[in-house]
Amino acid sequence: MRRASSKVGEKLAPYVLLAPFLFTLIVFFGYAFVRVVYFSFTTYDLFSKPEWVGLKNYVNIFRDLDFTRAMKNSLTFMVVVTTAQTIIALLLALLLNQKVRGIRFFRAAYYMPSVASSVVVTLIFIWFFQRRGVLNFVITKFKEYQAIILLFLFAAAAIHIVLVVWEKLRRRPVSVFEPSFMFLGVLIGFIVAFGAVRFGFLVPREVPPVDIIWFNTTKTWPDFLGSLAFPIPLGAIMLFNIWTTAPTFMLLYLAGLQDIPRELYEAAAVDGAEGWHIILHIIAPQLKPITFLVVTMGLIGTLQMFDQVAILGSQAPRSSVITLAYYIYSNLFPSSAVPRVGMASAAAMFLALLTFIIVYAQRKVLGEEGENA
Amino acid sequence: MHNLRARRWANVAAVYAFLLLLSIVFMGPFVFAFLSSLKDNPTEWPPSLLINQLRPVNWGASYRLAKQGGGNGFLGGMGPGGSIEFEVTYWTPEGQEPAPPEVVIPRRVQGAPPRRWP
Repeated sequence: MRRASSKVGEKLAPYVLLAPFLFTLIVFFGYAFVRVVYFSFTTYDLFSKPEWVGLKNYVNIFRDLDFTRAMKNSLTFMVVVTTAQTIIALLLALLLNQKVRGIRFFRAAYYMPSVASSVVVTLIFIWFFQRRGVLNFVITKFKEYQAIILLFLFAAAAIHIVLVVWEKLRRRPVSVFEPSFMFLGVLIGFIVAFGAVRFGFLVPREVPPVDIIWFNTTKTWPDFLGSLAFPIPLGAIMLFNIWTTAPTFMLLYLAGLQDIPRELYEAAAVDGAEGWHIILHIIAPQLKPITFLVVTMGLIGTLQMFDQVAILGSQAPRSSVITLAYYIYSNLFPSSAVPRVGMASAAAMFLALLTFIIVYAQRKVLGEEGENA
Repeated sequence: MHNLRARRWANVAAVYAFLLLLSIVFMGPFVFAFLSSLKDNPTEWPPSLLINQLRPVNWGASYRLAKQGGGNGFLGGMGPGGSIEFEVTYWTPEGQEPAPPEVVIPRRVQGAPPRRWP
């Protein structure tokens, strides 16, 4: 008898332990999801009874100009930000995987944008992107010193190329991106540029302050892309979104890099591989599961982008920055109109389906290794 | 051997230079925002890294003024009968004789509320 009751207890125990989480999942996700599916087929304004309208909301969202803009903005945002943040995160992780003194400080410093609250970061960037803000000031200074900067870059590149070619001619093994030659090139380039200014060969140009309107504009960029060009305010949001998310993914890549067995590098070195060969044939395949995770999280995160657009508020025209998540929110809680819960629910269902399809397609593209992630 | 060692040091220097350069990208906005939060006008144009509140010269000057005005360099204030230095720099159009500025400090009567200046 006692054995039977202990068996029942043993079987029940996992469900009891899971109960709080199952409760949260069923009430706040399962029930909410079913309600959203139901509301997406009704007209409902939070005050009167919902009325069944069938697929009308799904047809109407595609007739709404705001929805098509939101979809275009969201897809552009997804493609640009996910690509940029994945590449930047990998490059940062490769840089921070060095065994040099003080590397922990740099890892912490680079991770700062991800730790900071997105409200704080957005406010700092709103301030940076003002017409008389830091970014326009930096661009003004760049224009002022353009000739000097170009001379510096040209001299640095020339010295670097000469040194690499010289070493190659002497049949010495040297990488095209040899850091010591880069350092020497930068040092000599700086001396050349400084000398040119000091002896009056080059002087900073007088230019009027750059007056780029980053937020309060409906202009798009780059012009040659035609209808694929994105609104400038959305570009500004992309810039600071990449700046805040790349360090998070950098951390994942860094963990992945430190997991690669040392023997693989040693074997590659014995075979004469170096530089790009190691990155392409050792690091990239070993990091494939991490890349799958990073790209998946990036796609989901960018499709759900909401907070930065919401904080930006009236600083930018709605049509230039609206995303699908913000479209859903603004239909559910419009500032001075009756809530359109049915439309918002239909858009939410569409966003969920779109996210699912994109992540599934990405899983197919990245292949079997990715599926193990 | 010497060449190899020199190249190794140059490599380390290049890595550190690159790390520092990227630190500016990731930490710069926070540092600049913090420094600007100390300014009277955080949105000044052109933006500057020189913060008047952080310059030791200004700390010394403010200590001296506080000492002259209230007798206490740290707490400041204006005590009766104090004599303080007054320095001002101003521009006048070319050819116009600069008129010496005049400063009037209203006399406080004991018990009267402090005058509110527009």
